[in-house]
Amino acid sequence: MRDAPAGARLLSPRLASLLLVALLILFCAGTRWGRTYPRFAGRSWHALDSGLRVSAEARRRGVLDQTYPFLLYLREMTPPGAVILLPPREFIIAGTGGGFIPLLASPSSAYSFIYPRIPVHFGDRSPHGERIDYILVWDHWGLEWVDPEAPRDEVHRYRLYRWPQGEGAPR
Amino acid sequence: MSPETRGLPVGLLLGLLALALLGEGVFRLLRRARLLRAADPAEAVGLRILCALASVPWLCLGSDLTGIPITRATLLGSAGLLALAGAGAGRLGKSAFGGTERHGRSANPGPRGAKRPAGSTPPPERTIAAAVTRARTLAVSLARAAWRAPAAALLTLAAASLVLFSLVQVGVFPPREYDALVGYDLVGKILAEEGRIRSSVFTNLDFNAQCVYPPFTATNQGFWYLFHPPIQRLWVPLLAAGFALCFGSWVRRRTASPTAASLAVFLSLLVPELAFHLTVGQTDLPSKAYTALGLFALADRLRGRGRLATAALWLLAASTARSENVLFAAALGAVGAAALRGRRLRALLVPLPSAAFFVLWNLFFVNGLIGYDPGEYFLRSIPLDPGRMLRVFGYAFAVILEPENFGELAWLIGLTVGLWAWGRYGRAARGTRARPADGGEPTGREWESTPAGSRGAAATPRLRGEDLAGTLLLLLAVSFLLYMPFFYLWNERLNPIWTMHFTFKRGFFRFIPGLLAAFVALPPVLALLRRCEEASPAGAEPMESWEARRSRRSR
Repeated sequence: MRDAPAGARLLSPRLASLLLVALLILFCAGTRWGRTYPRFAGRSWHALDSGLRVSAEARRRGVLDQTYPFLLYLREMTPPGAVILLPPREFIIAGTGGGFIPLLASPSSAYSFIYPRIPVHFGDRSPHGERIDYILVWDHWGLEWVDPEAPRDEVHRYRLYRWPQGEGAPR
Repeated sequence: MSPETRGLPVGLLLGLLALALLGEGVFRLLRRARLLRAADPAEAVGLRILCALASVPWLCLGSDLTGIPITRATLLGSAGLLALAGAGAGRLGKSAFGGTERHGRSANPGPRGAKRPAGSTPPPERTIAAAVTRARTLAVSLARAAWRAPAAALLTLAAASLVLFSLVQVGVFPPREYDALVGYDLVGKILAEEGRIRSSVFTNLDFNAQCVYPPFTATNQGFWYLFHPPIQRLWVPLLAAGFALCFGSWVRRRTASPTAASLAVFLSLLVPELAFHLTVGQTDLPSKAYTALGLFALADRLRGRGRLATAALWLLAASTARSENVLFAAALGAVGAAALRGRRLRALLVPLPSAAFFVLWNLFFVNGLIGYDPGEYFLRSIPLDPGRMLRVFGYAFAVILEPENFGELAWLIGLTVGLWAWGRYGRAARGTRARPADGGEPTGREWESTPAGSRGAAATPRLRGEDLAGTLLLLLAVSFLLYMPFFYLWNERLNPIWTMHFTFKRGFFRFIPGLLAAFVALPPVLALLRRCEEASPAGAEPMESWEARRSRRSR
């Protein structure tokens, strides 16, 4: 057993502990580092309180970006293994505000949600670039290839079209 | 409760069983090889968790290379085999090492039935009654420990609550961070679908570079996509818990203060950017955990305890999370070579396993088998450009000083270095009193009370007799210096240097545990923390007191 330090005689361990805990409470209330604790605790409580009441799908819709529903749409409307032509990445990024890369604008993140369908972004070097099955019209992009006569209205703004078999990718 | 989590989570239980078997088997094998030791039950649990998580990439990589599909059955089977091998190694040890095992504080408690030296503890009984008695004894000793060090008990609960918050958030929220969604989460998800790492991700897509990061994160995520997809990042709280147990145990052992240990663990998990990473599955948390353990293992070796191979092992595990961890292995190996007389060659071998994995992953697997060149993100030659290096250091310091990233940690760095320098070179070091405050004669050998089995005189490190904080600060400083060339060599077109803001922000995690351990080990800080305790727990290694060291330096 170690001998108690000289100062310990003046300050009992329990009183010293109380002082340390009080100091830590001040730390958690008054510093950016310490305020992480109440913030982390609050978020976790909120997650537990509200998150588990809804389905996992609803939670995904709540935290993923606005292009996530389009990926679900592609998954619902196309068979497994389909190759889907998507607008150029930059066009999607610009259309969603341009501040970040949305799920639909990256082949990797799009594949994560539409697997086993294969996304091909227009202009990308993709292994399946010449074997297109579907095309996603996005903000009227691509409409001129699949339905040039269609009016540029809300009905035709976002829509999936079957790409003619045997046709190569548009250039 | 959401519909997905209702019912008996068979997959979750099977996944936990597979991890438990893996952890048990690998830990026993490494203990038999004298690479790991657990000083207390908490560390034993922590080491098993860390071993299990570190083994998952190896199992998946092995399966992928041999063409065996990665499924629940193959993972459970491999884990079972490893558990059997671990148990078998214990039996083998009985015949191979019987009677020669060291007991008591040895690295490896001897096999049951082996001849024990007089006075050693007999093997525990394995009956239900004995287990109940042991549980009761453990509860009583925990209550006593909490009474002896109440602040430590509260801090331990606070640190445990952070792990719990991590569990809640990874359980509720889906993966949403960009790097994961375009990289390791995708690879893990498709691994679970197709049973291999080299999945259709690499043949169907113009994939992102994050897909070919070393396999720790992707395979651990894939492991849980296989066993329990609703909580695919369960490895994150497990890793945090395992690391907290090992880190806490290490600091407690080295400072003889449970309060210092719990404070270091609590603060290390609470750093703002790092706390965020407790809720997402990225590569930086495993990098931090395993690199820090490697650093601690080397610090132990420099002070005459432990083995260099243990440091090499942890750094190998770190290299399976991020390739640049090989630079930390190089830095620690270099310090070891400079400081360990008679062991220079062995110290230089510390980075070898990490470097071998670097080659295996980046050159053989990614470049050779997948056909992707990760080297294109780096300069092909090494230009001599002091301005560029200054920019790298400038960005690094700016990141450290940004309160949004690490809160007031920058102040703590200054305080730790300042107090340490004051203790070593300042008035405190010169000291005016020849005797310590308690009137006793300083022995000057407090650091050297090494446990049985430590290295002999030939391996006496130059750093012996120095303080723990100084050793840790030295290792951190050299690691920092050798980490910077990683950014210096970035290809400006694909990886502009300003983007190191994001990478270094997370890369700095690796320094936080060592820094906090150095802070609580500073004699004046430690003396204050010890006032919150009645007495040190049995078996703790005593630290040199501030007064004794001051006195010794003044002589």
